[in-house]
Amino acid sequence: MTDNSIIYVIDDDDAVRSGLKLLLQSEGYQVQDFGSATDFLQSCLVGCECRGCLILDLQMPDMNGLALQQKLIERSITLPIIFLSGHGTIPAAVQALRDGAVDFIEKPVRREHLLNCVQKALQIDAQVYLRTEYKSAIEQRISRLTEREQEIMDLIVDGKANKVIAVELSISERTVELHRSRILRKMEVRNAVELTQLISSVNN
Amino acid sequence: MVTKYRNSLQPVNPLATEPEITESILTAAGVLLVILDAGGRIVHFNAACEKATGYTDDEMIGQHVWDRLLDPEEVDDVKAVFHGLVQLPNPNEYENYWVAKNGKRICIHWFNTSIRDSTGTVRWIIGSGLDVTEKKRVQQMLEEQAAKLQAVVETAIEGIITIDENGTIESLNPAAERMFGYNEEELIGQKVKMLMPHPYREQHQKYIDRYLRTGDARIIGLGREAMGRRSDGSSFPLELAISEVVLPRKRLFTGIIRDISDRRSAEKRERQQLAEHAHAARLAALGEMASGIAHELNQPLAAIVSFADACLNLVKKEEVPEEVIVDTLRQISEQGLRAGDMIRRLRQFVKTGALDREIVNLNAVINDMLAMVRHEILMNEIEVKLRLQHYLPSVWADKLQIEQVVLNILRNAIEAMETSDTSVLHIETSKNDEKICVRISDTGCGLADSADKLFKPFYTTKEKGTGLGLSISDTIIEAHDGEISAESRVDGGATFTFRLPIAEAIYE
Repeated sequence: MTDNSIIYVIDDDDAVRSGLKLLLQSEGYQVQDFGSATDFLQSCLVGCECRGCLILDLQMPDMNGLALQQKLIERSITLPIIFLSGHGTIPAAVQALRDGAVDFIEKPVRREHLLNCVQKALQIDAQVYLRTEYKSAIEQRISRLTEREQEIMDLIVDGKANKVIAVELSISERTVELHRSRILRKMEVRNAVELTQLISSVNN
Repeated sequence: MVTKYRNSLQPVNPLATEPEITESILTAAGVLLVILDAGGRIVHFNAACEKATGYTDDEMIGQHVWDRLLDPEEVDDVKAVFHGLVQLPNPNEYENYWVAKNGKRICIHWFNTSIRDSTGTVRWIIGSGLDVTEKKRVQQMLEEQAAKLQAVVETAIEGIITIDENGTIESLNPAAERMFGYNEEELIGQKVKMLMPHPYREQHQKYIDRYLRTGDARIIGLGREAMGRRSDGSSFPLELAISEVVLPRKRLFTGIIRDISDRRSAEKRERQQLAEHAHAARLAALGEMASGIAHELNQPLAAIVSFADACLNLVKKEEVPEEVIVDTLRQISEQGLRAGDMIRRLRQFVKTGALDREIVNLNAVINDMLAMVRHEILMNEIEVKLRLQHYLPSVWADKLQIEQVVLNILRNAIEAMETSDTSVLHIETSKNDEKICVRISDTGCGLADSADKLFKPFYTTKEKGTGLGLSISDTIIEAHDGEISAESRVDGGATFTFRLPIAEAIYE
């Protein structure tokens, strides 16, 4: 829920769209609205730093909500989606939720429910964002390591003792110790336990 | 010759003194003159007789009249008349036939008398006759005609009542007696208005008076429907045609009356049945359209809820300009009306019960039904091309049923185009031959090889169809004296066309 989050409202019905837009704006959100899925895809270029969530009408001419969801998955755009439907059908709802939709709401929608969903979606987005940030920070630290250091780090994370590593790599135990302290410093951790936690948190 | 008597003191009858005058008269007279002796032999046969029979007096003098001139069947009768004249001095009249030389029968009306001597003995029988063949023929023809007419009137299933210009019943036939439950004697001389229920009864004399005064015939010559009243006081619908008979001294009006209560109730049953089937089909159609309808209704509701919630937020903020609130409230109102329109159309569409004809504009019907299927049209990305004729004359129709026909055709077209690459719906209205023509074409899959089966009940090519839509449409259009047809288009797709007669009444 950072300040640069935007709620994208996509609905082919002008009245529904501007109603939602006005409501969300009056709640203090930034809103952008689109009359069709195609319009949205054209404006939101792949790989852009979109932050926020989507409120998406299920039934639209041209490209319907489910089709847009698939397009976004293909393009690895992780914006959380709240589906709206004039008349929800169970199969459509099941598919939407299975593919990661935050919720599936029937029109007309109760304000509290909509705002809860939006809040939940923005939290998810924030988590995803934080996670991405964190991951890229760790990856950056790893990139500082030499090839040899990375090799040794993998063995440390595997829980092997210096002596074992020395034998495996046919180097002296002293050399292993030197590598280990450089690895811990570059990875900004104090000991092997912290290093293992850090690496496993990224690999999950 | 005239001067000869000018100075005479006494006028003299020339017939007594100048036999040649008598001779001239007998020759010149237009009447047939024949003189017989006491034995029945012809002694005089005048020129008129010669002309009528083709015989000369030479041929006839001395002949018995019954040997030469009579129809054998009448000989005895004529002889009897002759002998009567011989015996008694009274003149008489008699009608019999002569057979002319060429075989033609001539009917002659005779004035006969006898001339006797001082002893009373018959000397001559004189017959003067008029050729009444033509008169007789006409009379017979008239009698035959009257008899035929009488038979027709007596056996007609229509009631026939004749009244004079005061509305008094002069005659009526047995069918009229049965129809109204009165005897002839009970009705003749009565006012015809006793056969009419209120309020026709009160109006009737006014109609007659107006017609006699102004010649303004509201009903003369036209068949029209009215109400009759039976002797038991009950009313029944009837069809009435009135003709006027102008006689030298008076006018008569003849009314031919048909009891149409059976036809009416049959029509009513039929209409009721159609109404029920149509209603069932409408409900089925709505069921098939349910999700689209729900969507159409939920859109404005969703907008209203959002706008209203936004307003709730906005009014709490101090810096919000008034126009924003006003504009939002206006949008709420508009969306409320949008939902209301949809519901009005739906309610109209599920209506049951008595169906009435009214003045219907087909362009308006088409626009209304397009609104009902707006969602489907959007979802299938169908382009709608309208060519509706301006100032289209109206039709006299049951609006609901015609809407149903249009909706059926539209839905079929939309379904047919579900898998089409380009979907175009052409709708056209036009007027020709006193009919309004509506053509709806699609670019869909076209008709299967079943164009003739299309309009049969329970025939369907759809998985979920009831097969009632088009058969109901057919029945509805037929009930409106119109026609409906379907054809495949050369470039794929189908065209449905229906025609309805223009409501002429309103232009009269």
